[in-house]
Parts: sequence; structure tokens; C-alpha cells
Amino acid sequence: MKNLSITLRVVVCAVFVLCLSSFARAQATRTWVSGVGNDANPCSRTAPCKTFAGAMSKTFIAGEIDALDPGGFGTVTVTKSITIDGGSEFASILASGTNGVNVNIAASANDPQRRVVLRRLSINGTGASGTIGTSTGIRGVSATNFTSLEIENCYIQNFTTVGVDVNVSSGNPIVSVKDTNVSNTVTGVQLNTAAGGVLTAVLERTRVDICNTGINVKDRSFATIRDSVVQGNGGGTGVQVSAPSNSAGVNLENTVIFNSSTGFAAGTAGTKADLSNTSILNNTTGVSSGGATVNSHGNNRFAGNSSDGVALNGIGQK
Amino acid sequence: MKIKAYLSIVTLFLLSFAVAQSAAAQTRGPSASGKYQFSLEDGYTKYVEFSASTQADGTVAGDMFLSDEAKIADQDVDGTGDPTLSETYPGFYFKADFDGLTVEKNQAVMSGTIRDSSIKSFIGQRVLLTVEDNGTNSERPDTLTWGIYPPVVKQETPTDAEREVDTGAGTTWTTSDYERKDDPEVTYPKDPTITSQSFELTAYDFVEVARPAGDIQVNP
Repeated sequence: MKNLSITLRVVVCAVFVLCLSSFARAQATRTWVSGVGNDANPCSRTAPCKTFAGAMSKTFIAGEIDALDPGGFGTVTVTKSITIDGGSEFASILASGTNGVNVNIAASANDPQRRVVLRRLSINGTGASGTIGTSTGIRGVSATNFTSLEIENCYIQNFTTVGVDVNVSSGNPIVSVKDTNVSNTVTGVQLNTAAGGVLTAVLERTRVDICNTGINVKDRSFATIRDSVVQGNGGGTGVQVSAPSNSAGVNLENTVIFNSSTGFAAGTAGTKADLSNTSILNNTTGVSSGGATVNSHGNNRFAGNSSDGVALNGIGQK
Repeated sequence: MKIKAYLSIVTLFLLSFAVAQSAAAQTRGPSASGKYQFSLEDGYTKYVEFSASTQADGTVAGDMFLSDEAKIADQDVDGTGDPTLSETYPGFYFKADFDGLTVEKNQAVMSGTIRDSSIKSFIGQRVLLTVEDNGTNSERPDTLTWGIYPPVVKQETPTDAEREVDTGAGTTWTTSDYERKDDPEVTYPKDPTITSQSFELTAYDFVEVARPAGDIQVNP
């Protein structure tokens, strides 16, 4: 009788484990969307979904949503590690009156990476205000909760606040923006994290233009900007460090900043600013500082500015 | 009198035998049927009930019902302003009539047209149901996948707007191997209508079902 009871327990445990494993694998690692898809489909290659949001719930953690063909696939809130790839041609997210992509991944034992990749997407906040065609989208990408965010080969434009807004409440997030254009937003890229955390970001081969502020590096955020262009930010600032009472910093490497009111605005004392092989051209003020020392490696170019601004701290090269 | 009665009985017997044979012949071809409840990780229950069989004349008869408790939030992805494209549905069902069936070993693909649905825009769309009958294999339960496809838009025939009598240029053509008399002609463009043969069987990704219940039967 005792043996029977033990056997029964083993069988029950085995059945439970089998059920659990089948439950955990009941989603596809790769799903598909298409311009002729349908969100009632399982998002397979032969039966794709219509929207990224529809595919999200059918894609396994750390999986990938791919576009089969060019099309508009709607706004999406990312709640798990995921790669959204527009495929060989751009996939579009039209975000009139709302955010294009929200990234909000709660901590979970099943999702230790909390990593998001947005690749080959056109995120557009254009919309109508009555009979007027204008920008009505709020943010292109709004990332508030994640560990790693990578934005590659994307066009983000026409938003009333921020193109890429990273505003994290906890942790030490890592951001990478590569081969991406951000234009016609109030702020192109904004980086910020809460007390106790440090945000590090790399912007590489990125163009930010027609914004009031091109790149705004805020509290506890450190950005390296290389091989990029920040231009045409009219009455605003190309790149600025804005962390009044917290540390933050910017390394500018092989980057061009031109045609803004202020090309580069370093922050208050204690924030870090480092310029190398960078061109600051045709701005009203080339470089300003709220007290921070602006380091220069002696290989930068200034031309066409009404004023080149504050004196740089030459630190040479090693 | 006895002879007449005897003949009547024999005639009725033969007639009933012939009718039974005829009925059997009508459903002798490949068939697939099943009632299956399952879920994906979204936790929502999905249920499919279907039956399809090849008739004696080669046509396919049958239908399907599929329901899913998962919410569908439609989006106006192209900003057309159409309010029906921004609706949210708390689950859905649809019914379809089958007109195509392809069976290979333990797998079957059924094609049809949606006749009724809780989401009105689904009505008239094509549907594919692909199933795999794994018998009593406990490691790999019966599985399936499905797809809804918009109806094919007819291609327009280009005409010369400046000539009222222009009948239009042909938009189809045929190809064949000129050096081989036995090479069959192929007409292009191929019919884009979704049928049970639109995709190779190997192209289908079956969903990985959780909590399956019911049975799927495929008869080659």
C-alpha cells in the first residue's frame, strides 16, 4: 500500500511537470506579421498576424516578431524581451495621438534578460488636427522599464514631445541607438534614470535633426555619441547635458553638430563632457557650460559659429 | 401473388443495398474530422470542430467552427480614420464551409470560406485549417494551425483611355518548353485564391498546444 502511494505521487509529479513543460512551450519563438495578416491567426509564416500588438502575446519571451512584407503594423507595448524586426523592407508604426512603442518589462524570473531590439522600423507620429496635417504622436519610443534597449536602422519622426524617451525608474539600463534617424520632434533623444541607477548609452551613426533639443542627457545618464550628425535644431540645443544635481556625461567622438542655437551645452560642475574629432559648426554659440569642464583632445573643428563659446580644457591624446 | 410479394422483397433488398453502396461511395475518399480544445500560453481557451470529406465526384464537403476567448484589439494601422478598424473584440468565433481538402499521411489541409463570424469583417474571407493526427502518441498530441486570408482582389485589365473601343491588354500568359511537345502549358499569373494546396504541407508551423483535449482524425 505504501509503495502504491509513492508510485502514485511520482506519477502525479511527472504529469504535473509534463503539463508545466507543455504549457511553457506553447508559444512560438518566431512570429510574423503581414499587411494581409489577421490577429486571429497564430502569427505563423503561412498565417501571419496583422499587428505587432497581436503578435506580442503569441511570441515566446526573447522571441522575434518579423514583418513578411512592407506595411503598417500598429503601435505596441512591449512587456517581455523581444526583437521586432521590420524585415528586408521597412515596417511602419503609425502613432497618431499616442506613443509608437512603449517598453515596460516588469522584472520576472522567466525573463532575466529584459532585452528589447527594435530594428528596421518607421515610427511616425503624423496625424490630423481637424483639417490640418500635423504631428500628433506623443513619443516615438517610450522606454520606462527594461535592462537593454537596442534601436537599429529606424526612422522616428513627427512627435510632439520626444523621439526616443528613456526614463527608467530603477536599475542600470543600457541603451544603443544605431543607424537611426530622429527628426521633427521637440526632443530627439532623451536619457534619464532614477536615483540608485546609472544609464549608459551609445548613439552611433545616428542623425538627429529638426528638433528643439537634439540629444538631452539627463540625470545619472552617460552617453557616447560617435559618427553622428545633430543638425538644424533651430532655436534649441544640439546636444546637452542637463543634470542639475546629479552626475551625467557625454563623450562626443567624430560627430558633427551644426545649425543650432547652442551646439553643445555642457552641464553643471561635476558633469562630464569630452570632445574628440568633433565638428561644431554654424551655431549661434558653439559650446556653453553651466560649470562643467569641457575636455578637448585637441582635434576638434569650430567654424561658422557666432561665438565658439567657453574655452575647452585641452587634455591631449594618448 | 406469392411471386409478386417475393419479387417486391428482393427488389427492396437490392434497392437498399444499392443505396447503401452509393452512400459509402460518396464518402470513400480522404477525410478529416475532429473536436479539439486547447490553449496557447495566453491562457485563453480555443476550440475547433470540423469535418471534411472528399465526395465520389471529387468535390469536398464539410465545415468547421473555431472559437477563441483571446481578445483582439484592432488598429487603424494606416490612419484611414475608419472607426471599425479601432474596435476591440473580447474573443471571436467563425464558421466556414469547406471546398478543398488535401491529405497526406497523418496531415490534412482544409480550405473554405467563412460564412458566419462574431467579427463581421471575417465573413467572406478564406480560411485554412491544417491538422495533424498523432493517434495516441502521448509525447506529441494532435496539433493544428489555421489562417484567415483576405479575399483576392481581381486584377484590372489595362486599357487605352483615349480609345473607347479598346478591349484591354491581356494580363495572363502561358509558358511551356518549346522544344518539348509533351510539356504542359502553365498559365500566369497563377490563381492567387487560397486553397488547400496554396502552401506545401511542410510550410505550416503547427501551434504548440497546451492543455489539449479531444481528438483529431485524418483518414488518407
